[in-house]
Amino acid sequence: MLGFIKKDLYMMKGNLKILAILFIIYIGFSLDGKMDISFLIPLMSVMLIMSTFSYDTYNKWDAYSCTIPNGRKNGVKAKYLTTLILIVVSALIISFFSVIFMNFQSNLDLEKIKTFIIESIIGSLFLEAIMFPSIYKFGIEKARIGIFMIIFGGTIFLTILSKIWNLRPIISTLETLDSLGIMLLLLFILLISFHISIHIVSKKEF
Amino acid sequence: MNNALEVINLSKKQGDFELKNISFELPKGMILGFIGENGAGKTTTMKAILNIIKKDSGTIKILGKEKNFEEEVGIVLDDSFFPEILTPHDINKIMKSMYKTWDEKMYEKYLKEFNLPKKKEVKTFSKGMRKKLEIITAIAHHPKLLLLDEPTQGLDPIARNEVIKLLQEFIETGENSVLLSSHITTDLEHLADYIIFINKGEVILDKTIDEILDQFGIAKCSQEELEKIEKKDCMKIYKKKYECEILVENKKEFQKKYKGITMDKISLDDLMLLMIKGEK
Repeated sequence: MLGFIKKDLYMMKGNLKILAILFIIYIGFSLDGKMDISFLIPLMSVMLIMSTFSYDTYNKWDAYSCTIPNGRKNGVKAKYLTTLILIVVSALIISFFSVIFMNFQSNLDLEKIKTFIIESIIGSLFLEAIMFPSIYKFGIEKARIGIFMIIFGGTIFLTILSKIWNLRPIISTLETLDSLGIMLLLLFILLISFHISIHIVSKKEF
Repeated sequence: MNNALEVINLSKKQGDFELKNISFELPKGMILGFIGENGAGKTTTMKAILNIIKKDSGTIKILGKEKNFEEEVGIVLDDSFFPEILTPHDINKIMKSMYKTWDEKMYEKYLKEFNLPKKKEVKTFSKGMRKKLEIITAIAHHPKLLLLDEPTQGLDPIARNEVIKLLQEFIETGENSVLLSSHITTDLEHLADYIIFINKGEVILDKTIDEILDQFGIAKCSQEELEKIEKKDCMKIYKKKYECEILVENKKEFQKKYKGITMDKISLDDLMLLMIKGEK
């Protein structure tokens, strides 16, 4: 599995330069505190991992990976773990810059930084959990559209549902969970997502 | 276990195409040439052997095992498969973590021998350079069986010669074996011990190369002469404008029986052409 993680990380090097430039520009614009940099966590991790899926498909790597020892399973494991690594690294970078920003922005304190970093990690993990099985099932191109539709459609669906049904009890239950509780819940969802992905890939033909 | 590979009644339906009960064996220490026209089923068979696609039925045994054989098998697929952004240097580091038996020194030795730059991205490589890199990677973890789909495609004659030499070295020990699918049948005439000929998803010929080159022949005759030849003595007949070519399975007996008819030596190219275009 380590080989697959290395492969994904090496493949990101082409995108790192572009991402670094975008990151610096955005950081520059955020100095006055009017823009939030926490969303860069899911953006960076999702953008980078999606690019590895695109490279795999474009270069027909998936067929080859089936011929490597435990290739199908290790390939999937590596994608999940690489994304977790990316989320952690992005969160550390963003935390570092946010702490520096505290010197320029009076409305920013450590508690606020902690809250928005945790929220962003939760968002990133949720995205990972819904994205990967869709990518493995439908391929990266279709999944891109699908993910957009899930997020967009899901929002509309929940809005309509909340008008018809009283969702308050569910929301209240969620509100009782602290960040750690939500993280654990998300890790459980990730585990289910991982098993679905493994199941899809083990049956898939390349 | 004397066979490196056993394929027994392999069947697979993919859209309109179907592999029908493909069976063959590759004895240890031998090179098997897999030939057939485009779309005959060579790549589908290779992919089914490697579990890249799922077989509908049949049994595949690699080095006596039906699964968990990947460590002992080296692969070159028909399409390039290394992400173009990687360099041979990156590939070395990746493969080191993927195969327990990865031989870094051997990999670097072959990179030098084949003049492949270590630090340049694969996207800057020519098709031939990519193939060479794939072959080196397939060999550098000391597999016992190589499955190569069109490995000499896109290579110039010098590079093809280098690859042939490499494969000959690979089987020298008598323990290693190669399944090699190729359109370039002249390579197979020099390399292969056995030939499997596949057409429309079926094996239509399974012989040793010596049997083919020594026993098979092409009889050339006129239309009038053809009428005097018994159908059972003709494997295939290919009618040209001014003459007919007959694929003959036992050229000595044929020449004894039909004196005066010219008999040419056969090449694998001729064999493929006559088997596909010829009539019974």
